[in-house]
Amino acid sequence: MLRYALLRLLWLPAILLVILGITTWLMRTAPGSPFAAERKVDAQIEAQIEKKWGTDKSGWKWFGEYLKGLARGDLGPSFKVQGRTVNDLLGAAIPVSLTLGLLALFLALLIGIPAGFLAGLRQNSVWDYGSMAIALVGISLPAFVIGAFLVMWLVFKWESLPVGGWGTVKQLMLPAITLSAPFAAVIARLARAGVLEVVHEDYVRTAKAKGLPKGEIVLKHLVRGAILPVISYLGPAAAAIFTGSFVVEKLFRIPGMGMHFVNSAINRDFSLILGVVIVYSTLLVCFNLLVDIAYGFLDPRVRLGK
Amino acid sequence: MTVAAPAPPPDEAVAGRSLWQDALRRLLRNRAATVSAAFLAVLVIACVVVPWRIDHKEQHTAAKFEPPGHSAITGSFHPFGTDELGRDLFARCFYGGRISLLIGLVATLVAVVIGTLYGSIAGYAGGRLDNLMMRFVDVLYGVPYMLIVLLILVVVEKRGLVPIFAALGLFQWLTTARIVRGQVLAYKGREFVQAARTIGASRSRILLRHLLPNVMGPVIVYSTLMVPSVILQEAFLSYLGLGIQEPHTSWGLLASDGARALNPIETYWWILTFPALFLGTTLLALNFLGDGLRDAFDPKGRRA
Repeated sequence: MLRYALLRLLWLPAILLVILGITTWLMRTAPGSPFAAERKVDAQIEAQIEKKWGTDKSGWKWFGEYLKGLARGDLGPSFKVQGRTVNDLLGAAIPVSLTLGLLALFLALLIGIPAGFLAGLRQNSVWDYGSMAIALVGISLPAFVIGAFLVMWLVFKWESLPVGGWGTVKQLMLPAITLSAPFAAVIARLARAGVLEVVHEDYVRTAKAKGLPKGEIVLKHLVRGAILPVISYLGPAAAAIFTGSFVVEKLFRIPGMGMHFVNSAINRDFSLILGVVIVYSTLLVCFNLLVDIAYGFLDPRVRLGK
Repeated sequence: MTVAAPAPPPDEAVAGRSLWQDALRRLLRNRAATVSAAFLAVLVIACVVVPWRIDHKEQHTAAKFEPPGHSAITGSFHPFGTDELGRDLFARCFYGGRISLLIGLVATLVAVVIGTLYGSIAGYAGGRLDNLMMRFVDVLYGVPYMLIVLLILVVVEKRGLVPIFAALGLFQWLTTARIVRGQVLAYKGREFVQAARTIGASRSRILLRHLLPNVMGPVIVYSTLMVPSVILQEAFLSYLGLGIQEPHTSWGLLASDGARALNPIETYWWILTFPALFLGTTLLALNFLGDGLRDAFDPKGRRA
């Protein structure tokens, strides 16, 4: 098990290398530079700026220096946010995104799993159609539309919640709901599919034949198998939810990581891009590993690392 | 297995039901899926015809944000109202639909072609090449692809449909490749493939004529579900200002304009609601159709 976990963690450097490669390559081949400004800068000044951020060196050399810094836990200075290091920026944003993400993930599970189970257990009933229709709406609308509608009704019309900001529990509500909506929808659909997959399995029929009460069958036999699709979705979902959403953060003015995610790419802030990627990929690899370990516990047919 | 069966005598030709006929029959029995398919067909026709009949570019700066109904300023009827430049939102919604649907279809097509080729080559070759190719896919899965899409769009600097097709299609093929590889692996040991090999069919013929037809079922299902996700991603790009550029538009751009015009003093609800309605119902229909296709191709465990 431990060997397996370590092997999986070895993926992380591979992924980071690919991204690093792609970004460095794009950075080198792209016309224009991250330091291009409206005003023409003196050639000497430009050379100085390039030297300061190390972009005067070749791609490989820069890469080497970056890795050296990374080994010391130094992600380098931001190309675009003046006077701030990437460590600074991410250090401030991660707790915010983590708090919001945790709440949103909790909400998504709290809504999605019961809705999906209900739909699956009462297939083709009003419950099934009702919850799946709502789930499909959650999947079919972009986050900025859902968020905008919530703002239109809850904030402007009924004036029941504040429109944004960060700090109080009330301010957390709307962004958490908006962030969780698409995830809740996918979880509900997966949970339903999981139930339908398992309902016809032999071991459920055996439990029924033994005369076990329905509640016990659901809790002891069904849940374990039916939850598996949800669990495997949770890996990428958690990584996405914890790195925040640009849309939600912009709509509700939250100083989280989603902002950096998008702005770093648009501003060509390459050190920040790499910093964001490191956080995201680390989360993704770790959560996927956790998912696989959870699989081993839930599904007796799965044994990890032989 | 369509290929393996010997040709039946002509008078019994109807009796042999292929995988495809079975799937079609099951699909037609699914009401949500058939209604969705009909809706989508009507929508596509409307998106082609309406912008061609009604002008979507004509601006009336005096008549901006006119609510739905007859406008005294433009002197014409606007069922969905007008936008911030006084353009008729009804026509713009259909024009936007043209582009949203086009992006969804073309990017999906790009992804399906790449994914099918990649996956079938990996699956058919097997061994070390397969291993190498699929590990590469694994690595790409770990990449936050939206970031790369944004980078590409920022770097390319030229706005238009082609960079969006390319950037969105670039990462969508991964799952298709996995599905196709799995299918090819499952089928390549079957008797009909061996038979084809024995009579001396070339590799490319076996792949194209014998394996791919069997692989396409799951691929079609998955790509029906890919279209809505691509349309959503384009909406996100438009929200960032990296998608379709004015004067062209898409549902995503229209909806994000609507979201942007939101303010506490005056709610121009129509410029958010109508594009969102188009986007939502279309994606809903595509999802229903995709689900229906999946059930039709894989009826296991989904009996009522």
